[in-house]
Amino acid sequence: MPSSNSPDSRRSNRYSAPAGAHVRVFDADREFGGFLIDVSLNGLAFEYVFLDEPLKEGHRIDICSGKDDLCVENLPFKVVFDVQMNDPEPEPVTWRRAGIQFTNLSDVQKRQLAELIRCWGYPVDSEGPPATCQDAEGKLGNEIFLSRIKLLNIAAKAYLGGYPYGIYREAAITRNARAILDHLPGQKVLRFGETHSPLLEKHISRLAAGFSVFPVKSHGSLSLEESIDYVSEHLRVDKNLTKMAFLKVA
Amino acid sequence: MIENVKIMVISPEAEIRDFIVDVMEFSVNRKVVGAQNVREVLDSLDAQGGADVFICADSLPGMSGRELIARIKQKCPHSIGILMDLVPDNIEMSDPLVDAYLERPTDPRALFDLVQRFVVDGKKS
Repeated sequence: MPSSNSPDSRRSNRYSAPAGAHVRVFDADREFGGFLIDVSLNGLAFEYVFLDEPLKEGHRIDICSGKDDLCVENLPFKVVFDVQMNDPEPEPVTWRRAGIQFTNLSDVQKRQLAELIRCWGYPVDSEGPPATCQDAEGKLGNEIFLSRIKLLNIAAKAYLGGYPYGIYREAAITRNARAILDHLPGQKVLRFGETHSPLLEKHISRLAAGFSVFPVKSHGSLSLEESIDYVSEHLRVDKNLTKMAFLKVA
Repeated sequence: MIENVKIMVISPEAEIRDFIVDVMEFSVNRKVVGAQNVREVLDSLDAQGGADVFICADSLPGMSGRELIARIKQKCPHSIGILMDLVPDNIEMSDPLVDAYLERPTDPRALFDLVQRFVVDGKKS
């Protein structure tokens, strides 16, 4: 087990990577790629196909944001963990998950890293990780707020897609929508940097209002589908429900 | 597939506990119970026979999440214990009492994956 203060036992300052975000690991002799899972100002986690040589000290890593081509390059790191993953189905390749801690980042790299995370829609202080418990709780609250919006979007898509809704599913989504409406006026996470969009707040508000009571009603002239698409695009919510076959059962 | 699955979420932090309860209840369309401390869990084991799946915070007042999972499995050996926040150093050293580690408890996708793996596919190992 990692120690309780190792980077990957923290949660308050880790940010989930959007779809398409990836890493490139390299040294003087070789390089390979991986899928970025999450990142903080201190380190990151990623998954990769094991080829011939384990991750080791001396490698450097580039972080690339798939959609907008933002990159933070040549980051030095040390390995925190590097484990083989249990694949639910047999695969011809071996997947591993690794966690790394950045070492000796330059001021420029620190700023670039913070900017990259901001561009994904998270508020982040480039000076470093949370300094107080109150800060950490605030960031956890932001993370949960964004996750609740993602849950709302997935639930809305399932509902409009004809997936069955039972009483507990309805109750969960009603609570979720009301929690979003409660936090929406006071939150700052959607009013930050390049992701700032009053229209995004309006669409989230419409969706949450629509799903705060069943049967669902659309509030205003726009359709709920338009709000789902807008939120999906801005918060990079995976639109694909095919991996959630369990939603077909009520 | 675990029919009429019973899930319990244990965390002293209300915000995260409530969020996970909502995600799981949405996923399985069954009542999901939240507990904020060890006593509530142990009382539930005595009164209601426990649950099929326990999602447990790593750190609880008076007891670690791992210790609580061990206590639960003494009474309900077939239950599934999922520990939040920790990742094992490597597979060989991972704790046999813990069926899965939830690295990102605020990520709905990670929670959906747990539902698919343990509730729908019924894969415990």
